[in-house]
Amino acid sequence: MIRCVQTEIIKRLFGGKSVNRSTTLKMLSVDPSSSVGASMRKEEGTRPLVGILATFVGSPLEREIADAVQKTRPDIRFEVFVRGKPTISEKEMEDLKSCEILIADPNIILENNLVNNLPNLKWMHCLWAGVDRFTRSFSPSGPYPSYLLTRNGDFFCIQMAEYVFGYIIDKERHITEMKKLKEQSLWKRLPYRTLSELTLGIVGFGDIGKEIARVAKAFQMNVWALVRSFPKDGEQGPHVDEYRLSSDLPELLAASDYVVSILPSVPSTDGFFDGDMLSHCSPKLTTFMNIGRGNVVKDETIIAALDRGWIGGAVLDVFSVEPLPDDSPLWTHPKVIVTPHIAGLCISGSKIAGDFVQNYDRFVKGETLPYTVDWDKGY
Amino acid sequence: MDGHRRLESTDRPPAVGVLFNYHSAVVIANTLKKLSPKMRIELVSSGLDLSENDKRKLDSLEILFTQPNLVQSLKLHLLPNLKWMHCLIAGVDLIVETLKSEKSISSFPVTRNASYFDLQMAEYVIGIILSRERRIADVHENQRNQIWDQEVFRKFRPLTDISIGICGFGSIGKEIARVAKTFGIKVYALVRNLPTEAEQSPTVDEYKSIGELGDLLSSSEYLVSILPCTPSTNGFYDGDVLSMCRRKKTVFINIGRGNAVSESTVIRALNEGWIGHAVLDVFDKEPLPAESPLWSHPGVTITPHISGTHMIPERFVKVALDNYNRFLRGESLLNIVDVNKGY
Repeated sequence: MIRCVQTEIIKRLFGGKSVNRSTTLKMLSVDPSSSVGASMRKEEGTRPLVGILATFVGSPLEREIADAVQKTRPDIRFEVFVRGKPTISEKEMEDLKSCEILIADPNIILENNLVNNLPNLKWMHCLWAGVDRFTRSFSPSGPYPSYLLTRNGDFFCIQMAEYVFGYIIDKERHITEMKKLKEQSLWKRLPYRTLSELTLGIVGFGDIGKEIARVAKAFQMNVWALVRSFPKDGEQGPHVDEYRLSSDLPELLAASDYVVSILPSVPSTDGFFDGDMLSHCSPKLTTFMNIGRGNVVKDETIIAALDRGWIGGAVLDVFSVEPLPDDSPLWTHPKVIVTPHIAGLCISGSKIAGDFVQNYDRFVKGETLPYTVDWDKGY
Repeated sequence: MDGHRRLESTDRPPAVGVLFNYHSAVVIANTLKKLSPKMRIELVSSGLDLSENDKRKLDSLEILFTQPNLVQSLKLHLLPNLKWMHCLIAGVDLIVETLKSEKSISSFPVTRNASYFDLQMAEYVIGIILSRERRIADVHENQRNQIWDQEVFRKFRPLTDISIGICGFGSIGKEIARVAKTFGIKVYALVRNLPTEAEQSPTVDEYKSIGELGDLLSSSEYLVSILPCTPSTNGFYDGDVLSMCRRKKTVFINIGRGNAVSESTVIRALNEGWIGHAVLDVFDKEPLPAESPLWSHPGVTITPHISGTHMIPERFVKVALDNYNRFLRGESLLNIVDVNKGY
């Protein structure tokens, strides 16, 4: 969950006049027999109604995205701009409901009970990579929304890798400790290891995991990846030394100096590392890192694993409850690093615009869109 | 000027002297023995008081694996039969001075352990950059105060938005460029001679000649100096040079040698707002004396010459071993030091 502080609501002024629904909403007629996303025939003079529902404070992200799109594609026009917090006005609700395509933060859709209340929506493009709150709000057998949901799959990858290696190198090369030594005017050389001597275990091997593996290999790390199924011959990535299935998690944990969980939050990953699972980390006193979702391990499990000497440290960006409650022992445990869900927070309007435009063209042609959320899988 | 001879089939292979800090010397000797069982190794004392036995050992040595600061204290005239010296570290400035001053007897090739240190130094540089860009110190501070604040960390710049200027583009500089490119950082490289298109590395966005140093400084969020210590690099960044960093308030990182910039220059550059921060791993005097004003300046990060000091024994001796085999076969050696250039 991204917590946002909003103080203004922005409306787009169309040609200097305030938005007048009856003149500016352009509805595209859709063949009712066609399946969702199959085709939107562009009738002459009409375009799909596109809106943006964004949540950023400070920088008008929705403006940034729209401007970036308009630069290369003046044919794609945004008619609706809504700031999702603190509240959405009735008028804005109506505007949102008129949209056929929406770039949005799905959590705000959820919070405002709009999930099944967007009758004209054919496709929602999500700003973030994680859509779990949205997908977990449905009952397992549906009903699911009738629109497509796509998520921002690859933009965050390199940022997550920056986070992971930032903390790994900080720890291995004692960067934080050297600051403390400087404060004491102490010239003291601390012995260190190089990443090339270490093994990284990646649990959850989607695009973020693959990017982390790529960077790990640039440092000549040994890389293990936990996968749902072994890649076929010829499909094995160049950056993975050992693949293992979920049932082999103990072996992966025992082999790893660092383990990074990027598992999404779905029922099958609840408590993935709970119980005695982390005891398998004791041979190397693995450092456990979580940048996926907090459902995979309880706070108490981490504390116990540290105190029992199973894991050597924890770097946690995600938690079962966010913000992390004041009374959580994770805040003060000397071997835990708490970061407030910031591993992949940087967002670029121009990058989102680029992805959106590519998807838009595919969408109107009826092609499949990358990172379409599979309602059954939950991501 | 290779000066080595082919090994005759009846000859015993020449003994290799290892002159290094004691504990490491033992590790090195054991590693060499393990990887090359037929090698004859003589541990040479680094002390100034040499016994007659030590002097005899030195007298017959044709090969010496060593570190530059220890050669200073050992007169080269005690090694009249030396045919090849290999420095097990990358920086050879101290040996070069000694060799130049004892020119008449130093007619053997000197090689150095270039490439071994590259990756760990690149790790250090990227670690410094990531630590700053992701504001790890602030994250820790917030944790200490139990503050959950995302907003303050929202606006970090991804590494794809920044540039690094690399001054000194040998094997270490090239490795830094490669790792920087892994993260999508834009790379400027300062070189003495601009490479032809065929020679250009795909990890460098723009090569700059020394005359274009100003361009490089004003374009880089981070400047890494790996310049070796030679007469031509003395005070390389002194005077007003760093004022050209003003535009981006470059962060200056020195992992080469301390002669390139004086303490007072660093302090002035910080106080004038030319550079945003200085990360210094090397100094004129090491350990850095307690009275140095660098210790207490908030714009300075001090690391005790550790960007490349970790020994992984088998990898550490690899160049030495490669060269040893080349030496025996009469082939040319790797990483020969040009005494005139100083590296």
